[in-house]
Amino acid sequence: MGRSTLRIITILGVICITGIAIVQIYWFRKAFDQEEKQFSDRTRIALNRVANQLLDHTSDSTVQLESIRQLSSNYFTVEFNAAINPEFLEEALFNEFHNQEIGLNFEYGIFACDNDSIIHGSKVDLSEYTSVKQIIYQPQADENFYFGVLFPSKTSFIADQLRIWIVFSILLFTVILFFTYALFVIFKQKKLSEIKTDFINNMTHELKTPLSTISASSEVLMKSNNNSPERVNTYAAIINQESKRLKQQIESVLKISVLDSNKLTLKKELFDLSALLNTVVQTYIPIVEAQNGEVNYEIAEENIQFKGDRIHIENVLHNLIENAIKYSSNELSIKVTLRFEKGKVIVTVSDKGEGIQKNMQRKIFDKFFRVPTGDVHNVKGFGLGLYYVKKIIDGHDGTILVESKLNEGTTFIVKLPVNN
Amino acid sequence: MDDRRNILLVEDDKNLAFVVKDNLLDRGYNVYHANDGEQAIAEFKEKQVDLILLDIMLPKLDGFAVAEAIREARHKDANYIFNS
Repeated sequence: MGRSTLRIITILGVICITGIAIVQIYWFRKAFDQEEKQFSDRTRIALNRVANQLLDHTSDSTVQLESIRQLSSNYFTVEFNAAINPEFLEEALFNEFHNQEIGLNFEYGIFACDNDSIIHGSKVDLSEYTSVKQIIYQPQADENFYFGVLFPSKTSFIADQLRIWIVFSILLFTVILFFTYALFVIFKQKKLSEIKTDFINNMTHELKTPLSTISASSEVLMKSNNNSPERVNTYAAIINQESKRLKQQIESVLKISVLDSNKLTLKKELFDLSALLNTVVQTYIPIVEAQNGEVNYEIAEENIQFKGDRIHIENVLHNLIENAIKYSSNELSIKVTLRFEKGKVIVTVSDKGEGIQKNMQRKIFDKFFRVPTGDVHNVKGFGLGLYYVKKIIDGHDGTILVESKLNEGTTFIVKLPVNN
Repeated sequence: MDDRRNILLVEDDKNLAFVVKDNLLDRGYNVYHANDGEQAIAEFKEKQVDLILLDIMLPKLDGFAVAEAIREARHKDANYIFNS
C-alpha cells in the first residue's frame, strides 16, 4: 500500500467517523430534548388536573387558578390562592402522575405566598406509597398558597428512557476506539515494513559485494592461461576472504532469526566478567592503534564472578566495542570502564565519534534499524548488532542505556545484576 | 602519448575494487580508483575520464549525488555505469 493511499484512507476514515459521531450526538440531543419536553408536558397536564381538583374541592368560589410554572427541568410550581389540604393534594398528585405514566418518586411542598415559608413538605416513594407527613401548620382560609413538586431522580428517569440510545452511543464509541487503534497498528506496520525493505536492500548490497568479488575472481582464474603464481595466490586469497565474509554475514542474519523464532536459551555459568572484558579489550588495542586511535580502559574491580552465558556476553562486548570503532570516523578514541555498584556490574563503552540524534536513540535497539543515511554508507552493517545486544542483556535481567550527543560521541551503559 | 581509455572506478570495497581494476587493466584500460563519493568528484575534475563505474551505496556521498555533482561540474555527456 502506497503512502498516499494510506493517507487518503486515513483522511476518509476520520471524516466518516467524525460524521457518524456528529450525527449520533445530534440525534442523541434531539431524543433527549424530546424526552424532556414530553416529560414536562405530561407533568403540566397532571398538575393542571390536580389544580382543577383542588379548585373543585374548595368551597370558596372566588378562588382562581393562577399558573403552572416550570422553574427548572425537574421543579414545578402551581399558584393557588387558597388553602390546600396536604392529604388531598398528595393523593391527587399520586393519581394524576400515575394516569400520565410518570413513574417517578417526587417531593412536594406547600408554601405561603407572602414569605415563601414552607407550610408542609413530604416525600412520596411510589414503590411503597407511604408518605411521611409532617403537618406544621393548619392553613387559614384567607391565606394564599402555592405548591411545588420536585422530581429528584428525573435525570436518571430520562436516561432510562434513552437506554437504547446510550447503548448505541457506547457501541459507536467502541467503534471509534477500535478504528483509532487499527489506524495506529497500520501506521506501525507500515513503518516496520519500510524498515524491513531497507534491511533487505541493504542486505542484498552487502551480500552481493563479496559474491561479485568471488565470481569475478574465479573468472579471472578460469579464463587467463598466463596467470603468474602470485596472481593466482592473490585471487585465491581474495576468494577465501570474501567467502568467509559471506559466511559471517549469513550467520549474523541466521543468529537473529534463531533469536526470534525460539526462546533465547542461555547457558549460564559462573565466570570472571572483569577478566573477560579485559581479554576482549586487549584484542582491539592493536586494531585501534593501527588506525592511529587510542583505547582507554579502567577496570575498577577485579574478579567479578558473574553468572551468565559467557559466549553471548562476550559477543555483546565485542559488538559494543566494534560499534564504537565503526562510528568514530572523526576521532578514534574508545573508553571502556567497568565498576561495581549496588550489586550490579556497570560496563560502559564510549567513543568520540559521530553520535546519535536524540530522536533516533530509542530506535537503535530495534531490529533492522539503522540511522537513515540514504545511499550514503559510511558504515557497513545490517542493523542487527544492537538488537542482539539488547536481547542478550534482557536475557540476563540487565539494562542497557545510551547517552549520545551529535558530533561529540556516544556512551553505552550496560548494567548487569550479579546473582550470588 | 597514452591513448588508452580512462575509466574511473568508484567502489569502497577493497577486494572488489582490486578485482575490477585488475580485470580492466588486463583488458587495456587505464583505471583510476576512488574510495568514496568526494574522492570520486575530485578525481573526475582532475583527470580526463571516459567512463565512470559508479557504486550507489558509498561513504560520504552516494552514487546519485556524485553523478549529479559531475553533471553540474562540466560533463553533461559523461558516461556512467551504475553498479548497485
